[in-house]
Amino acid sequence: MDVYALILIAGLVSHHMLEKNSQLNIFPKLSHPIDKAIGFSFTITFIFVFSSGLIYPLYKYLLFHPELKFLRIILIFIIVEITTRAIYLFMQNIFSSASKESSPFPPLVLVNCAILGSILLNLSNNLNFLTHITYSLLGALGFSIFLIMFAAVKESTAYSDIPIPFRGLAIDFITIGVVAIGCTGFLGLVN
Amino acid sequence: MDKTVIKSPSYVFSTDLKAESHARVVLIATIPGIAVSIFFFGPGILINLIWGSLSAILFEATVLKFRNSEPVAGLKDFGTLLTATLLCISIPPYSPWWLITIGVFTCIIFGKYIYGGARRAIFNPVMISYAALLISFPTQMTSWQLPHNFSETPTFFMALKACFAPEYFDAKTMATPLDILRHNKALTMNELWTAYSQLGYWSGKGIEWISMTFLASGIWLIRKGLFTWHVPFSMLLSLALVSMLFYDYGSSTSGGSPLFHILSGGTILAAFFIITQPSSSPRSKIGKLIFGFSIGILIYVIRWQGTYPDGVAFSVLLMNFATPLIDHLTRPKYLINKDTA
Repeated sequence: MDVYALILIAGLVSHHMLEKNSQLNIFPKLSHPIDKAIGFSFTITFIFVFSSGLIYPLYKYLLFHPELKFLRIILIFIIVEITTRAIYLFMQNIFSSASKESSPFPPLVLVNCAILGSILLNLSNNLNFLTHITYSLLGALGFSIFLIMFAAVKESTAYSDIPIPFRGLAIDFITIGVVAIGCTGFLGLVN
Repeated sequence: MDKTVIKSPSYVFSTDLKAESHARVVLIATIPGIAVSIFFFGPGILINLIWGSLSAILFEATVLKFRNSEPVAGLKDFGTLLTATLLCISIPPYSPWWLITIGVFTCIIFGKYIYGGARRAIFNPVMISYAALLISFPTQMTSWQLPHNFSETPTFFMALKACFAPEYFDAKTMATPLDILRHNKALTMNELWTAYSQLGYWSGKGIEWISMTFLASGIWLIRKGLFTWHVPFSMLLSLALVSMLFYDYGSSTSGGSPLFHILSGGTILAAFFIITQPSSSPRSKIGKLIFGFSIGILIYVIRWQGTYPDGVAFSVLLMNFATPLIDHLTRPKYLINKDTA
């Protein structure tokens, strides 16, 4: 399993998050996407590690029977949902100023997908608990670095004279494509 | 009004009216390197340059027409010609015409105009197209002609044939020094030097002298004040340091010597002509040092372990992507706006 592949997947997903979030902002140019991305990445790292730690024992000791395997996706969804909601409620009670628009919470479905993918990949490798947690942490960190870098790039392209057909989503996908080209250089580093 | 500074979050750039003459000076600085390349490898690079420049001008004029600006005005600054020239120097001489055309197209369209012109490009256009070509056409991009003391230097007519009718041209290709190092991990360095006669004093014959010439031109450009020493020298220093750390003076599994790494592949060309491009490198001095250091380390890692022959293009692209973040982290204090935070 390579971390780079995870970073790439994470990048594609992070793009969706940024896109969804930017629609929530009333003044996208006044807010700080980089600060927001840093907030995102902290939450995502926490959710990743926490929920994969919760899922691991359940997967290992409850769902080991082959006839129960169909339940695992539902289980992962439920646990991620619970974790995210719990953190959100916790934050809302502590920081009363955190309203829904400015909260550093990514759309739940996308986090679910990212976590589902990485956790299923990790679990299929038959790792022990510690390695599993380390993998989740590394994956989340790779995700976070990409997310923050991408937010910075988005901030600097916001003022460019990009041709009209390529504005918005298109230019972001092209940027991610170029980064993917850059990441192919790492081919052969991990077997 | 020769300098306008526009303030934006994490991003300060100056619209320098002298950009036109800058590109011309850099273009002049590539001439000695091209001359040395012609001396060692024959006139192949000339055909590359002519065809590359012609197609670059064609694409640029087309794009400018679509963008409703005057075609000639955009061609007046030598930026387009410089981009095409740097690409044609990086790809092997005696390349077929379609390779050059695809490369130049990627450069002009995906590197430059999609991001709104050369001054706002996030990635270096030359490196985007080099990396894309290397992934798509690995055979063509790694076939280098033997230098002149091994076989007869091809004539100008042969070079034309190699470009426009590549199937009738029998190329006498060699493995580049980096390829030799990669594929002979069982031999020691001394055995490599006796087994492969295309290796010269420090790196490949011909290639080392071309690199030296580009080094001299690069230092001339620093003396002219086009860019500071921070980016190129930090990159060369980090590459030398990392390779010194792993090199044990014998086996080739430990990677080559620092001089071997600096003088082979596109290291020097990238250090002085590619990564110093103002739009895709950080603005502060600390940022420049971080940028250069990371590129050097990434180049070594990809050369040592990766499957591709040279890591320059990939590492430059990755660090270009990190540049806005480096800029954000190393911005001067007066730009941090506390009211909106």
